[in-house]
Amino acid sequence: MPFSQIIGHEQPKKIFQNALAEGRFAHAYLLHGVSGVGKKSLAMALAANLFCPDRTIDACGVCPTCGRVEQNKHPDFFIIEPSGNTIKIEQIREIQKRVQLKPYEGTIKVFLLTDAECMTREATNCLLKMLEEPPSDTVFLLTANNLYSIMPTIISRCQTIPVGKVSLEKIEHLLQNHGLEAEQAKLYASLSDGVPGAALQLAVSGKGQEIRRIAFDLENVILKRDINDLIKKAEEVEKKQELPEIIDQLMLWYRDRLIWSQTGDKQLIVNKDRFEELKALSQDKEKLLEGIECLLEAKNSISQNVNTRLVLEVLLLRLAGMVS
Amino acid sequence: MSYMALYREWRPQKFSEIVGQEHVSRTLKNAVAANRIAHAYLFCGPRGTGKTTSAKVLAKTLNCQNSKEFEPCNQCENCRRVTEGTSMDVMEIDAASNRGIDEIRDLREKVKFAPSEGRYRIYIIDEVHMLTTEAFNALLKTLEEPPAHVIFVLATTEPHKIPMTVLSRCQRFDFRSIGIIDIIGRLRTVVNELKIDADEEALQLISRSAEGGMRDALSILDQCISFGGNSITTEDVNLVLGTVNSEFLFRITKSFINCDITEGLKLVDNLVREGKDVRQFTKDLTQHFRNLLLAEVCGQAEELIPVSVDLLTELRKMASGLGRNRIIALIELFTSAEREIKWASQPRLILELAMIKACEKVASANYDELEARIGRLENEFAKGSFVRSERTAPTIIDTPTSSGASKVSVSSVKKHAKQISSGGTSDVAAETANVDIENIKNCWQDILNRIKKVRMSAKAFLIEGRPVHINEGNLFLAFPPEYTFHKEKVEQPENKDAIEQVIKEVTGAGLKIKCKFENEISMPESDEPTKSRGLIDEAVRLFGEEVIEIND
Repeated sequence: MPFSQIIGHEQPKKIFQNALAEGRFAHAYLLHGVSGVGKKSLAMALAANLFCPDRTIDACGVCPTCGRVEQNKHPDFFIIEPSGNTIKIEQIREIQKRVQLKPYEGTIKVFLLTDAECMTREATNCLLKMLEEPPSDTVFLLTANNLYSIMPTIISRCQTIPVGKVSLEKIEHLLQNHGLEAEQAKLYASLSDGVPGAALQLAVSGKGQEIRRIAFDLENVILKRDINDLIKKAEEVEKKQELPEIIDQLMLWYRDRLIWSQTGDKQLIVNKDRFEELKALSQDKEKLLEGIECLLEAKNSISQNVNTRLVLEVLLLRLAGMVS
Repeated sequence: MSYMALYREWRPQKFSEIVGQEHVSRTLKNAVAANRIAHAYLFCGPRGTGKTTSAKVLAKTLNCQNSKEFEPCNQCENCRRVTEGTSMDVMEIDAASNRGIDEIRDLREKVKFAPSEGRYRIYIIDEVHMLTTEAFNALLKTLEEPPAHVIFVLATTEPHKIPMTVLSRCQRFDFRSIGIIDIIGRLRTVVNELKIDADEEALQLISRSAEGGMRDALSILDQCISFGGNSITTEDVNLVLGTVNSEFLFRITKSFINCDITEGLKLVDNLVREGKDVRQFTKDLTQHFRNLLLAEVCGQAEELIPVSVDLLTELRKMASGLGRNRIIALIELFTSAEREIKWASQPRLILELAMIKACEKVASANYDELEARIGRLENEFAKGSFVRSERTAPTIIDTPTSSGASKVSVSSVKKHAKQISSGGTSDVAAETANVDIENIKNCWQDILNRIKKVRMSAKAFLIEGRPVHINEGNLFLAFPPEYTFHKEKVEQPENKDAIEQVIKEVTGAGLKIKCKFENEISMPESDEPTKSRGLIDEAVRLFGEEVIEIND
């Protein structure tokens, strides 16, 4: 995949293309940005650029080499992903073995580690020496959602590339290319908040819509303030795999309400399709702030393995204002 | 890939090139000069401060064939091999990859062989904190008494993970974070050598964000060069680092001063759209407020704030617009936001909350002073010294309400007001005694709250007790029979003294605490209503019937 096929991200692209053009390509890059923003796509494009024999200012995207890079079938291109929840020391040891070997086909080897923050402590330390001074034909590409969950010793060995969000117009355009109608594309682009991955999830797989539906269901029950319904809903939602995302969505809704109450500026609202409801709702700032804090706390508790059912029940009751 | 990253290309090859670690290089050089080389060194310190580099330079110095002034020549065969990493006598071991006991056993086997090229065999064990416990223990004997030709250099960023038994066998050198000025100096050398234009502010920005690591600084510089070509401007550095320029920070500050939440949130929106890192921004903002604070409190802040003169004047203007207290409040707010952002899945939300709270804080900071005054007055009332001037209470309460205080402060003021007025009535009744039990009961919550600040544990015990009556300067506290533990704890001198002290602060009366169980107290609870009824009668007698209102 050539760079030109990736929407947005002008700055990282410029950095990479300059580095390639001037022959100042470093041996390790760390791309970081929110999940779904396009870090892996950028890294794949970069790899294609490094391998492509017909490259001019960008990879050609049509030659067999580019095709194999995209399908992860190139013998000198290795993608290391978390196995289970973490990247383990064995996986890093495997890299260490491969780093010593000469490239099979071209002149370089590329190792792409996705979700580098998932490396265990042992794996991270094991990578350090190699990452600092690899053989001259080796390039490491790391991606991470949160730069700060990575050890500073790793960060200091890489060139860090922040990968920002993509402008809404571009996402809109992307969605239209996927066959969406203009109106819908606009809405999903706004909901995605500049993250192409989230937009595609909403538009193509339908998973995002499901999450939104559940979140607003919850909100309706909260507004009705019927204790029976609340407890029932908690039971229903508890089993959902996407619970963190649902809470995130609910948080976004509260954020919109808060921001609307403070500014009255429609531009800053994310859930634009529910604007009428938003206007109709009560806008007590203290309550909304409290609500967001409850949501944050609940999400935190769930990630720390507190009993999900209890957390949810308490959360819903609190949001409905039935317990303080 | 013939290109080599700057931090590898510019790795110091001599002691004199190592920046910011004079205490280490000097000691090591002198040790070589005096031929007092220890057999085991431990280099520890944060990333990018020169641990591995120093270890390599030391190794070279020791084996160099024609070393001058105790620096390696970097010309001879031995030096070159160390630089290339092919030397037979200098082993650089990655302890994070070879962390088991088997690797250490292997090392012990090989330690006894004589060096093949130079005078010493030097083992550089990097990331040594990752060795397993067994591996550490297997190393102990060798580390204590290695053959005469062997020198160990252990390097780590986490010395606290290393067993004491290993620490005590090594000479320990602590590497310091490198100062901004040292980093700038080194960067200057590098850019001059590469013939690249870089303005002073850009280098300053790079070295500040490197946070004491030279490797970080050179990495960023490398990136800036790739990005900007042959000249590096401040704007390039901001783009590469994902930071914002000072103009943006000033605009944010201005939105606080004007209490313009919409403007502030719009700026945050821009920031996120441009892909800037939210946490980095929060950090920068805190730093900016720190500068504002210094500009406000220090007469001559030029040395403490590393900015240009124009910016400083601007800072001064803004700082005086905000005032010291508000700046401090903002710093507190954003430091705690930064902590939260570190773990948050929606960092932007946290920042937006902080922005909203910040605007509110700036708006409400004026009331802090007012609150402090009310607090003082409350104290006076509790002490009973303001007996005849009940009229002061309403006037104080009126001021914030009429000036349009925010809801919170009004409601809290009202709550206080209730306390004050009820405290006031009982004071009238208790004119004769300095402090009576009603008085204490009214202030009890206050007393508990204060103890919480002074001594948390004392509050936890005291909360089970309740004041019953006062007799000859003794305050009797009643505990339910099942709370023996709490009662005993309250009686312990350190808790008791703290509580008495707080009571004195709140009420002004030096009472002694006596703890009793409820069933031991002679005055039963049923007395209470009659007593308060008596108080009301007294009040009726004093004021007449119609003004009376009982607040429960």
